[in-house]
Amino acid sequence: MNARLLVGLMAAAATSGAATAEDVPIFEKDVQSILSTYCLTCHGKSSPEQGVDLRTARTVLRGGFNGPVVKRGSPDESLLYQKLSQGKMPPKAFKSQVPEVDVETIRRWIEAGARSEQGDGLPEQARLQIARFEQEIQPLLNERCVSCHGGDHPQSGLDLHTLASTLRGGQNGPVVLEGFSEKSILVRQLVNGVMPPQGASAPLNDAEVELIRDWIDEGQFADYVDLGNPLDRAFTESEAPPVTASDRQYWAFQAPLASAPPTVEGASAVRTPIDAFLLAELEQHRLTYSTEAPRQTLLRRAYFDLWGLPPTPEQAAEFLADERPDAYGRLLDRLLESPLYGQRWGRFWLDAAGYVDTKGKDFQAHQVSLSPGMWRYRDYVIDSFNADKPWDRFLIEQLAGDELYDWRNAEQFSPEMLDTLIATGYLRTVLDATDEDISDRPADRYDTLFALIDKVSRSAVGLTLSCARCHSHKYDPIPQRDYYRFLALLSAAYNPSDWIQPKNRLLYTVSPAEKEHIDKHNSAIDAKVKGLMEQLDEISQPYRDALFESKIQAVPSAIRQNLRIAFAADAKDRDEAQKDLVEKFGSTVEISDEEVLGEASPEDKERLGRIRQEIAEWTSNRTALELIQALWDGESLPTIRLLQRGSVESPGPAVKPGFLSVLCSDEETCLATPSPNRAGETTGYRLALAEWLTDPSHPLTARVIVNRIWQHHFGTGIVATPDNFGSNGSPPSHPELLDWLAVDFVKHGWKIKRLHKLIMLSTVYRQSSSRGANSAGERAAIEDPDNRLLWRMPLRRLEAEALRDSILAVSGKLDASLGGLPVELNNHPDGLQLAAVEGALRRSVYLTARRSWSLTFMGTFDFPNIDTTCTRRAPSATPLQSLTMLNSSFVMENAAAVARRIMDSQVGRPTDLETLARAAYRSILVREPTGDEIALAQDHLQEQQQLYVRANAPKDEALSKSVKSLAHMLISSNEFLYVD
Amino acid sequence: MLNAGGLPMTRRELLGVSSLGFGQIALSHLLAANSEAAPAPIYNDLRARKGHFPARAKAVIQLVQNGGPSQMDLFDPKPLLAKYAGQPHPDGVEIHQPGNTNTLLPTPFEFQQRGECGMDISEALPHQAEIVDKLCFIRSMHTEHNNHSEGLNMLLTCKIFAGRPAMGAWISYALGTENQNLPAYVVLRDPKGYTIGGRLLWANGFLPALYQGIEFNMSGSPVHHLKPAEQQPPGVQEQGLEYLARINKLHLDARPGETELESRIRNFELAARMQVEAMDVLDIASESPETKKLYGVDDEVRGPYGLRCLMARRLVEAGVRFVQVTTSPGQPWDHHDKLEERMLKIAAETDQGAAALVKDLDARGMLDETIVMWAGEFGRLPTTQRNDGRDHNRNAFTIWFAGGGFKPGWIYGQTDDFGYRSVVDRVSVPEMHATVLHQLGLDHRRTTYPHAGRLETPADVTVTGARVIGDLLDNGVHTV
Repeated sequence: MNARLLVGLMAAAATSGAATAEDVPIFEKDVQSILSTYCLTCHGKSSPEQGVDLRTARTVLRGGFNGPVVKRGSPDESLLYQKLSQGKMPPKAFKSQVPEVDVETIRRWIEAGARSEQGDGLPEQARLQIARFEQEIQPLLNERCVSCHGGDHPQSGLDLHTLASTLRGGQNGPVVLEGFSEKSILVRQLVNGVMPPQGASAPLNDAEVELIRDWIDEGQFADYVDLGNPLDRAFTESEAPPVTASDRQYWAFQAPLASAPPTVEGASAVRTPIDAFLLAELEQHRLTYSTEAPRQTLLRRAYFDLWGLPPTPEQAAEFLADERPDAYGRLLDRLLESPLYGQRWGRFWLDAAGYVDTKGKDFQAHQVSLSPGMWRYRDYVIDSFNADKPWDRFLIEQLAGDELYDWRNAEQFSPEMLDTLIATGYLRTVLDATDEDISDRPADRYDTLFALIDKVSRSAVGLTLSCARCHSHKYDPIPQRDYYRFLALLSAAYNPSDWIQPKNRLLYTVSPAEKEHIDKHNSAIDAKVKGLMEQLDEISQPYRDALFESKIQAVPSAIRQNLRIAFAADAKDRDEAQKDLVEKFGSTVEISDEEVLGEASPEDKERLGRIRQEIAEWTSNRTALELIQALWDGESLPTIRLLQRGSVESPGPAVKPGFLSVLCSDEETCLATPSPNRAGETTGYRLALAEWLTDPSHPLTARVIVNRIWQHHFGTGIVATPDNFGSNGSPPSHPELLDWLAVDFVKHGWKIKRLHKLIMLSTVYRQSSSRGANSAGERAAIEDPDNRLLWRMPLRRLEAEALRDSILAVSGKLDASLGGLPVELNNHPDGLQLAAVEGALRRSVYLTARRSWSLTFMGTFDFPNIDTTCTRRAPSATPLQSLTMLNSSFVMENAAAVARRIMDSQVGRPTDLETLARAAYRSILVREPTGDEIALAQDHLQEQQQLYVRANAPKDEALSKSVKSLAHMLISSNEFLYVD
Repeated sequence: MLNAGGLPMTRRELLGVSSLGFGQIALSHLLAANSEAAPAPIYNDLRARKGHFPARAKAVIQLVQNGGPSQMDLFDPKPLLAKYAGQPHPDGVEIHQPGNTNTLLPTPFEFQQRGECGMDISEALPHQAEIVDKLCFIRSMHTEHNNHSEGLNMLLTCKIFAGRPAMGAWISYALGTENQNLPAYVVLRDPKGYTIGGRLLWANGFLPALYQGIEFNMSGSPVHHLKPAEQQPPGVQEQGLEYLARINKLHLDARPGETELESRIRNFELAARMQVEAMDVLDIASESPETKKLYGVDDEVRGPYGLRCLMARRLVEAGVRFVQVTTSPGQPWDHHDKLEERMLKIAAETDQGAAALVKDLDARGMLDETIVMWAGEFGRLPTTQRNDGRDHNRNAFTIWFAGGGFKPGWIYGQTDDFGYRSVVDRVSVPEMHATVLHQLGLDHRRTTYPHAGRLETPADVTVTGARVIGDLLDNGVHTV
């Protein structure tokens, strides 16, 4: 089919000589070949960047999304000429430049009126294709579709009455995508049998659909139909459907109201208002709480919940011996005050923030490219949890910390300035792949913004906004326009028209002013050192020359002279032969500083030594600069347009920055204005977003965070979909409780630690997890098998971090120190990701966080791959987990360490098997074994010893190996892995 | 339908009101699919299960050809490239990297029509040339991105960005696997390293981690931690496992009804069996000398890939659902320059193994029920890069299938005269996925998983509109 167009096109593209000065340049003769050589790769047919298609005179003159690129007669007002003459196009990544003579031809072409051979006529193929539509396709559409999709009020705004109206599309955007029938909604609806609707008219048969597909795939028509400028239009009904009062009635869009805790029959079980709400619901179902868990169980539960670690035998003994009535409350206070708490709970927010230490896509196992200073954000999160920073403040700092203080003009950063700048790392952990020039295109930049919105909306707002990127949300009242309003709030910092590549988004731990001082200070030192180096060279050169001459005698005489020349040349100027020479004989004629010293006269020797020492002193006085990963605004907001179908290639009307209409009382209040609280040269729109989000009456923010905290205590949230409170999320199991918690949380200063304590002091949390501990357990198991009513405490598996940290803890090796650079991970030839030896004992939160190459052990236990955010981990149970527990060196070595500790603690005491068994249970499971368990453990120890003795191991070794096996199996047991 | 205010319901209201779990109504409404709107169950195990209709194939072997193999140098000859060599492409082409000139570049290779089907195939692939009558070629593939990682994500997950499940993960999720002692989804990678995209190419995405591809090493221990990190005398581990089972039993007895604890106990038994079976399946000592020769396992160049292809057959024979075989590390089909020399190198490494796999499966009567897929992430441009190479091209590429009901000796689709763009019978990547799933008995529209407020499907059908390409199949398309 294409042969017929080829010949014509080949002729059109035939190269031409540059026009002489007297000629009037003609597009096809003089200009087309220049553009096709340098520009068509991006401004050709396949994906005309910014709508600019430079293939034909017609498309050139049509211009792009942002207007014409050629103004006839006026090169200086023509974008095409400006970009070429200023060297801005082709982009630097392409490493090619249009020669001056060609730029001059284009200038003259525009000046002379941008003439074309074609005039305003249509090319043959376009004429054929347009005729084909009119003769073959239009009749079909008229017959089957136009009765609905035509007339004054066509359905869905789609008028199929003419070619132009068909191409313009409907309220959902274009329905025909030239060249891509499979992406064209017109075809999709016909193929799926959705259109025409049953009874409306006869469906199109295969041949008829094929006709349309073929026409679309062959293309060559869209360029030649005038559709008007799509950017000037108003929002369509489907881009901005009205958000109604009834939409705002949905529970999650209404501010929470705290109702009084209900009265219940089993009032004695009510320790906190939480209990009243839960019991009321249970009593409705004629159910009740289970009995309280034994103190031993409660102890372990509290340690794992707040620290992610088991208690030591000493800590356990302390609590179990504490007979004061408030012993349990005191235990919670102790746990909440420890920095181990922040290391545990910081991680949950790092999941939500999609925290990674690496930059770019990070898909190569062997190559880790760290985002310098990103780890400071991780430490900021952990510190914030430890300091019990109010949640509203925590969110404000992360979304707009850079707008809180005028750090740009600060002589020195105050600790708050630095801290709040680091906090904006929340907005920097998102995947930004634009570091390479080649992937710094508008589409790539928008991908970063899209990922950011996905993260912010799911982690902080509790809605899944991403659906509205391409079309208004199907389930929630979120117009597509609102998505781009929200995006505009972030666009002064992530500005798609004035992008900063990640490698150039540089801020330091010191203020810009201070950095300037430091740079000056360092360059003064560098100049000094350079001078000293020159002195050094001057003194040593004669000795070097002499040494060189004596050493070169070892080289065959024929090549000595060439070698001298090669060495005298600068390394970068050497030719291939010289490089070879240097490589081959470099070591023969190499001269070390020591050799120079050996030859030097006593005075020179003394001078050399002195200068070297001076250099060392100066160098040590350099001030090192450390980077942080922060976000800050550029000068102003760019124009942000709604993108039809979410595609950068199809911009629509411009939007103003704003919030979600459904969460505002009316349309007007939804538009954002810069926050009056902003400091310094910044737009204040992100601060406005943060203030809107943390307004005490915001319907979602407090609910979303109390639900998250709840989820981490009980395994499932009151709303089981923590990232989606919309109508397609899971409805709350206890709406009144959720609201009461949210209101109470805000009323008491958004304090997380207080919330932990409130939950953990409640009877619901202190219940046994055993089904047998509930008087109505059998019925409850049938009526509420998922335990949504919380008639017992759910059994929970340790997360990856808690498991790894606990294994290190019981082996006595855990390094619980705080903060600092991430622990290096190494990729081994067999594919395992293991922690570098240095740091291998640190808590898991400090391991390098990678997008998909986490520590193998952690990945096996469901540590998430980071896409944008992880709001809930799905605990799996796989045979690979069993293999890891059975065979990995990590588990085996730590089991050996526990065994050694047990054996060491028995030195000088009788090593009877019962004592050893008890010691193992105490160290690993932190409890006394039962009689049955002792018997089983004794048998195991005995049998293991026999196996080792049979393999000729000495008796001592057989005993210690058997203890190791016991420790290994206890660490691998379900009891170790689960919290009751 | 009217809403509470007496006005006609918007679609959103309609969907909201009839929200059965995760919007099953929505999906069936959008697809106008069948009327049975029973919510799909959510699985978290690997037990074998039935699809939506009788399966034509039961396993897949995916030969991923990283880098973007050039269609016009392997499968899709374009004589006009020679005729117009050195002239510009009239429409211009979409390039990806620096160093391109818009001049047409002919292939350095000879093409010959082979087999009864008369498929043109390049001299670079002499072994695949022998089996063209068993292969089903799609010359009209197109994809969405010109960068390797995005292209590979697309090829494996139907989306250019990371975070979605790979084809193998969806299939393991939907169908489970026959042999519970082996993983459902095995990845055989070059021990020398990962290809671009690494682990994302066998990711579970939002599906439970259970469904991700499990890497088998080619020497030593096939699975991580299959053997104890330290040597132990005989019986030590067995006895340890017995003890572990006893204490886990005591623990479970005190917690009756906790099924997760039970399945974890079973997992230890499974792990023990896997230790034996995984070692066995990768031990090729029992293979005949002829078979080894067929795959070229002893050859220095062809051996490593040939061995992985042979392993793939053994795994499928043992009941593994999905096997993914990768090339040597990096992106070996990525020939921005020195195309002739570099293409011959990777072709020599992989050609024999791939062809041997098809022949061997056929000889054993397994080809009928096993889908073999040979595909890279995109194709290449008809124009010149760095004098003697080609840049990436998302607009056209050729892939092939064998077995599992894909028509043998079938050539589907066409590109334009220069091979730049697919023009006739274009096949998108999601359509290719939909078609593979179909052969396994799965209606891709009804293969669902709820995630982030949406009911996800393997080919993201509500967005891509992907359909099964019945013309590729010898068994027609199930419509119910």
